[in-house]
Order: sequence, then C-alpha cells, then structure tokens
Amino acid sequence: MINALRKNYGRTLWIARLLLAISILFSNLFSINTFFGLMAMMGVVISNTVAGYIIYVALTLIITEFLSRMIIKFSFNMLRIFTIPYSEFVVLFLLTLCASNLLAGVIKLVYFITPVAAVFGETLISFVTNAIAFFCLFLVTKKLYLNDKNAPYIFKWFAILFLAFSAIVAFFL
Amino acid sequence: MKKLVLCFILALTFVFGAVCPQTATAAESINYNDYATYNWLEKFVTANPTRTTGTQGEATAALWLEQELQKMGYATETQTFEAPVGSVAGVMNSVANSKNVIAKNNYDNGKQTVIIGAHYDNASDLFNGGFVSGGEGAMDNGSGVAVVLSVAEKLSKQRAVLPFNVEFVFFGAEEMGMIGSNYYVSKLSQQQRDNILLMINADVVASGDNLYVWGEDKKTPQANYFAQISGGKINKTPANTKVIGVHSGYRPYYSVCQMSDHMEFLYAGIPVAAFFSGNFSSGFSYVENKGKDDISHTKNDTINYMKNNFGISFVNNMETVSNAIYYGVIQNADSFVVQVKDARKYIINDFWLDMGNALLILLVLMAGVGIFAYNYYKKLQKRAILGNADVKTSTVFEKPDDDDIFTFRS
Repeated sequence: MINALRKNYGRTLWIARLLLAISILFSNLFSINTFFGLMAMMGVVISNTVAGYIIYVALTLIITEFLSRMIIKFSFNMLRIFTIPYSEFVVLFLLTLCASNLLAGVIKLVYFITPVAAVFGETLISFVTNAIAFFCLFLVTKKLYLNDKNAPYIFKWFAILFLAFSAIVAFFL
Repeated sequence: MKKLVLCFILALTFVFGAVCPQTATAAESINYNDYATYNWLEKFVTANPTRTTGTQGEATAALWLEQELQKMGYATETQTFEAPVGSVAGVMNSVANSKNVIAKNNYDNGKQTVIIGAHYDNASDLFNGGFVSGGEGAMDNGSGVAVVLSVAEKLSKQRAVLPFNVEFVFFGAEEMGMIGSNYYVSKLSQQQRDNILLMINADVVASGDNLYVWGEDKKTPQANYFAQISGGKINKTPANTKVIGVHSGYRPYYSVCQMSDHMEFLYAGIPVAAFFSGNFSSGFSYVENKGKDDISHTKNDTINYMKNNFGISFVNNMETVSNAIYYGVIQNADSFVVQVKDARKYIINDFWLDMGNALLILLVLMAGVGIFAYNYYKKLQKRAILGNADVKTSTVFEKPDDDDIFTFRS
C-alpha cells in the first residue's frame, strides 16, 4: 500500500488532507466553540452542529494548506533552497501538522479530568507538539534531501521560521 | 345533509367554547401573589423602577431596602462609595455616590459568617452608546433582590440560633463593574475574610431556561450541596469543556458568562455559590433562553414581559432559589456547615487561570527550544566540516508504473 501511495502523488495528497482534517477536529474539540463565538462576533452565525463542525474543519484546512504552501514557496525562494522538492515537502509538511495535531489532541484529553488545564494547555501543548513534530520533519528532510554541507543552513532557517511563526500565533492570534 | 352540517358547526362551537374560556381562565387563574418572591419583586420594582448607578433612583432603592430590612427587625448599615457614571461616547466622565446596604441580626464575632447578597442597581438608563435604556430591571436584578429579601423575611421569623452569622448585603453599582462588591470586600480585614464561610449571590434568577449554581471552575462541595438540596431543580454548571475562550480574559469559563458580585469575593479567596438562570446549550456561550433574545439590559426587562412570555416559570425559579438558600443554609444549618467548611480548598489558585502566566511559560519554552536549536546547529556545523557534499537524489514519490499512466490508445 505504501508503494502504491508513493506512485500516486494526487491520491497521497488527498489522504494527507483528510488525515489533517481529522486531526484538526480532534485537536480542537475544546476550542471549536471559541471559533463559533468569534465568527458570531463578526456577524457570521455558524451553528454548533455537525454542519458547523464540517465548516470549521474545511475552513481551517483550506487556510492551513494555503498558508503552508505560500510560506514554503516564499521561504524556498527567498532562502534559495533548491535541493528540497517543493511538492513532496508540502505533503510531508501536512503530515507533520497532522502528527502534531494528533499528539496535541491526545494530551488535551486531560481537560476532561481537569478542565482548568485548558488555560495553560491551549497555549503550551500545541507549541510543544509542533516543536517535536517539526524537529522530526527536519530529520526526515535531512535524510531524504540534505547532505552534511547544506544541513546546517536549512536547519538554521527551519528553527528561525518555526520560532517566529509560533511567536506570532501565540502572541498576536 | 343541512341538519348534519348544522349539527357539526354546533358541535364545533361547543368544543371551542369549552376550550377557549378554559384557556383564558387558566391564564387568569395564576395567582402570582401567592408567592413570596413575586410579592417582593413586585413591591421592589414598582417602588424603584429606575435604579441606575449614582442616580436618585438608586439612592431611593437603597433607602427602600434599608427600611424594609428594618421592618423585619434587622440592624442595618450602609456603605457609601464613588462609582463611575455619565458617558461621552461610552467613556465614563464623572463619578457619583452609590451605596451597599447591609443587614445583620444577632451578630456574634466568635462565629463564622455567611453572606447572602444581590445587586439592586439596574441598567435601565445607563449611558448613550452603552446599554439599551428602558426596562425596570425585574430580571436583572429585581429577581435576585426578591430572593434575598424572601430569605431574610423567613429568617427574621424563626427563633433558632444558627451556628454562624448571616449577613444580607445588597450591592450598588454592580452594572458599572461590580464596584459595590469590590468596595465591600476591600473594607474587610484579612481576619474577616478568613471568617466568611460562604458568599451566596443571586443574580438574574428568574426567567432563564434553567437554574444554575456555580462555585468555581471545577466541582465544589457548595455547588453539589445546593444542587442536591434543590432536588435537582438547580443544576451545577455543566462540564465547562464547551466554552473555553482562552483568549477572552482572566477566567475563560462560565464565570465570564456570569460576572457578578460573587467574583469580587472569589478574587479575595472567599468561597462562593452563585445562583443564576440561563442556558448553556446554545453552543456559543451563555444565553438566558435558547432561541430568544436576552431580556436583561433591555426594555423588555419588566414583570409584565416576564408574565406574558414565561408564565409562572419565572416565579418558580425564584422560589426554587429562595427555598434552596433558606432550607439549605438556615433550616439545615449544621449539615450546611459540614458540607461547605472545606470549600476554601476548592478555590483555584489564580496562577493557573492567568493567560499572562501561560504566555510567560511559553516564552521560557521558546527560549529552551531556541537554545536546543542553536546547540544542534553547532553540532551540524561541526559535522559539515569533514562531511560529505554528495547531492542526494532520493525522493518520496516514484514514477508511476506504465500501467497506471493513462494514455490514449491509438
């Protein structure tokens, strides 16, 4: 099955999107209502039903993939990274986000036991799981596409971009 | 045939004649004045329909409350404080005096104290650009005042000596940001704060769909106790995993939906039980009635509106809360003390509820990740000195098999 997926980029990309959608829902079970509330404040009323959840996941997925592609493309061009194939990296990136969300969702199950943990959890858990997931992404990228000479440069910008975007999301969004 | 039609029409007339008068009679037959809380609500709101902070209306209401409590036999005192009033484009531009009204009976300094409170000001005529003017504050918070007055009246008639003091406090200027309760708490010494067994607050307890009691953003003995004593008519606030607005402020749970005077006590480390009515099932956050607009802070906040739209249910809610407080606290005083004596231990340390602390810890974590990344980068640089520079040609995806590639056959 893995071989079949490796030979069909389109199918693999859709599976990655589907897994990401599921992981987004799983990871954000506790904060979906915050999203509904924010949309209501902007005049867009989305009901707290299955349809509302589908809209939430679809919107998040579209925005996530659009932003991911944009950021990766921009970064590769600005940083003159030509050794990593863009299309393959996008799939790996989406799968990394999926893994991070799944891990975060599992950890967030602790909210059922102690809901107060959500205050710190919503801020910290995603950062921790993203840090782990993106470090693993770099290791995979290094194994597949990088050599000893260009690995430090790629890693440096990996880390800078990761910390920068984490700071923007945590402090301004 | 004609006879049959005539008989049918006659029968229909009897049926409607039987139903409609009964329906009209049923509506007219509700005697609201059979209920103590309704009587207090009607008396209070009729005498004091406009109670905006810092106005003559609020001062009159404070005096009215004092007189009624004195008639019951309580020793009363008032606290006067300044509260923001007036508005230019929604910004408070002056201050005026407001009052807290306090009633005590047979106060014993050696005993702990239970405070039963409600704010008496309303948002009937606040400021341009602010709340919608109009309404007589029947729900917010004539209902809470009525509940507390009915409990005070019942207590004044009983002779039994309680194992704790009971203090009834009517707070002013709640609508301007819990100014009255903040002032009240600020005047308590640390010993007095430690001596408070529980602060019970009643706010908007009339026309909401359901009744709730809240003690903290977790299970508490006081919420369990009142839910039990009410026979299930009062609910503990449901599992607060639904409404988590972690970026919405200090406390992201239901307390944000019902910020009232009890919060000033909780901030000071005093355990609370806050009664309110509403509905948490709408998905976004708290509403009074699912599918309807809230009546608090609107011109619909009147007794007549509640009668016409909610029938006897709003009175039943007030009676339920009044009975839960009276029977739970006063009639079963010993059991109450046993249940809530450890309530203070259930207060969540503010550290865990402050988003600012979470962001500080995030900064520390980011610094840690940054240090790790720097060290790893140095390690990669060292490896690069003697490392290989081969261009890797591996890819994740392979060329598909010829059979999988669609081609037009010639």
